[in-house]
Amino acid sequence: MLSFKKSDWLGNVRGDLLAGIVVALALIPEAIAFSIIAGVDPKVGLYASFAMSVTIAFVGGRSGMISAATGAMALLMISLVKLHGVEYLFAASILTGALQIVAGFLRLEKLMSFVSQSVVTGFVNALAILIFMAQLPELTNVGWQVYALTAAGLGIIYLFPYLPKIGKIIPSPLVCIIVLTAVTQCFGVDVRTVGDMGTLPSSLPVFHMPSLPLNFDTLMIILPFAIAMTIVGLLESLMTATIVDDLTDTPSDANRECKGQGIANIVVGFFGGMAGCAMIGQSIINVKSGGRGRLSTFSAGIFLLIMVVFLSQWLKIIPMAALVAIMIMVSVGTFSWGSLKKLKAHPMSTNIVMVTTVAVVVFTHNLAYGVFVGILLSALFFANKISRFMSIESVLDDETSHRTYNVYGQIFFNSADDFLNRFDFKEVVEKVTIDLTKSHFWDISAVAALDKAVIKFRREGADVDIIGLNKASQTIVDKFAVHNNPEAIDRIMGGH
Amino acid sequence: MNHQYVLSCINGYPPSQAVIDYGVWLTQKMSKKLKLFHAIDNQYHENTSDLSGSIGLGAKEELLEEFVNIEYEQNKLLQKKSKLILESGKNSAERSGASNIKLCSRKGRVLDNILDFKDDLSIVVIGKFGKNHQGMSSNETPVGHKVEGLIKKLSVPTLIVSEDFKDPRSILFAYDGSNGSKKVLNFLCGELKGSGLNVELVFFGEKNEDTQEFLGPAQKELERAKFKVTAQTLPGDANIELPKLLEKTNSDMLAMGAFGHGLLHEFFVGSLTAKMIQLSKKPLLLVK
Repeated sequence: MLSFKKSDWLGNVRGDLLAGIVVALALIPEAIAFSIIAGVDPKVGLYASFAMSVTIAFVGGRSGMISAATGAMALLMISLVKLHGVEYLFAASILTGALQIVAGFLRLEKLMSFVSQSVVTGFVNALAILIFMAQLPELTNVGWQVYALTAAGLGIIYLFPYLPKIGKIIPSPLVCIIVLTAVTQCFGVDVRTVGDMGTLPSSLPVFHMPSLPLNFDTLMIILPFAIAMTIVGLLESLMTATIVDDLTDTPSDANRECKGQGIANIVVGFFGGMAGCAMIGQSIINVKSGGRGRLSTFSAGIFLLIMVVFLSQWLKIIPMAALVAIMIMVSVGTFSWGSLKKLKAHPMSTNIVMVTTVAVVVFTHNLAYGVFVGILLSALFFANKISRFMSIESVLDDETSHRTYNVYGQIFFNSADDFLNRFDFKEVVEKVTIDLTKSHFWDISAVAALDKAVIKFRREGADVDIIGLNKASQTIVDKFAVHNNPEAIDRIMGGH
Repeated sequence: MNHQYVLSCINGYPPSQAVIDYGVWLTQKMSKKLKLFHAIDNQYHENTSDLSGSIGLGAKEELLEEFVNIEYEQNKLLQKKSKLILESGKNSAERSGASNIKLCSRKGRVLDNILDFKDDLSIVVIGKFGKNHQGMSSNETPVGHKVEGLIKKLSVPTLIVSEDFKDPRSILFAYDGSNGSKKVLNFLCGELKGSGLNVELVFFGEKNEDTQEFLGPAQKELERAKFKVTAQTLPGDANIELPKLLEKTNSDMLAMGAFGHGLLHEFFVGSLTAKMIQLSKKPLLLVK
């Protein structure tokens, strides 16, 4: 299960180590911000981020992808922590990991093929909006100083990279943190700092068995949360993996990633952390900074731990405004702005899927619901589209009073009614031939519709002949057809 | 048709000429077609150093476009270079009398690519490089850099060359009855049948009935294929004696079964094949 492939670890040492430092800086704000959202001490998120990125470096299926404590997962834990406390969160993280491993063995990653492009875009945009919304508590009911600091922070983050030479060497989020901390300290600006948010790590993480009763009740408490986290974690991880695949033009092992996420979450749970998953924004930062190998993920975790544990005295005095600025950057960078431009060009059904996915997520704060609704809508739109691929032409032979219907296209539940309506049952003819050579029957609804048509024609006194059921249709008809079975006729006609 | 090609793996650096020449020589002896192959190893190499750590509007799209543009330029260049290498290889092969030459250029590692089309090949010719070959850019893995891995994975006969072409008259064939050496025997008797080469058949070990039992038939088989064979059983350990013999002999080429022992033996005793690949300046014909 562990990967020690040399090229994955040592193929790009310089790039990976430098990217690791840059990514660690972007991990800290998210870990702290979402620990607060989830209602736990920042150390829970920070330990999780460390343990997750280090573990996934060995067991993940996508080298260069960053996994840590994420907003998407934190949003699912809020009520668990509120109602039952943090120990249940650790247990839920472990159970999430176990479920993800099971999902890996069941090869559920294949279900990702049902997630259409518009659902992915909706997911990404919703995630960006959630990350942004999570910053709002820090920006409401606060003094002007906070707004000024945040604005200054954003200014530094976006403009510093344009400075010649140093702009591309020193990570601008680091500059943002240092400058804003220096300003608040020097001028004694009274704003909230990281230290006000709860306990920070003061030691290395240690093995910790969640202290809660090991019984059925506990399981029932954590299971719903674990299931939601399992789904969201895998969704975000697999989607992020495809983004990293695209950027680096290299393949990833989705199945291995599922199991890897599971193992990492189990480790996280036992080291006093909250469950996490892959992060889109930070993974993009990693790739942009030159990170490609497993070493980048590993070093991001190690650097994070070093910064957090050994510099915690300094960490405490960082103003929250600096972290908010960094998270706004991550949110803006995650959002797919191109998708807004494309709204005009894309078909309406695609847009509805995307926007609905976003809306459901923003409303429920659960990415799984959004994706579920998105997939459902895509499937319905698809079925609707395909059902239009059906037409019936007919010819009447006056002399013999014989009408032939030629059916083209796809007959299934969605087009079955339409199929039935195309026949003219009122017409007085001796003989009807339904030619199905160029059509395809998909399900029992289609078969039932054909049965109805046959029966109706018979009742009107016409002889019905069906020809050319192609092989695929034949198998379905053989299995389900009733029109040769008198007993079944009543059932399908429903008392007509 | 299967096994129709002699594959010469070239990369534009000095042994390539020898790789082509031996390839031509083999095509003439075996009446097969020559295929020149160049692998473009375009794996990721650090080329942007943007550590600003900030991502702006549409970061993913922007970054993707940037990468695509950079890699487009790089790969265009690599492809051009590959084409030149193959064209000049073709010219030189034609000068040596080969015709109907196929050119093939693919992305990725040499080994992976050869494994993909190994069914078309009757023999692979690759060059051997010394360490720190000069003038090698980071974009190119020297062909033969991982010769051992190639031979271990590839079941196709492989000729490893390092020095300039010298028309081979005689082959030193170290035969030990192993699977690999039987495959070498099959190759010689099948593909190089009637080539009129001399074969110096040797076995290291004690001379007794057992060894005669398999050395004898091998000799007969070679003779049936019209080789001029001298067979001898030499005392001593092949690990020590074979390199010495290769120095002394007049034969121009060494043929032997490759990596016949298991991993454990290789770990404790060391591999004769690996040793010969490292030491030999003469061409090596190996089959695993």
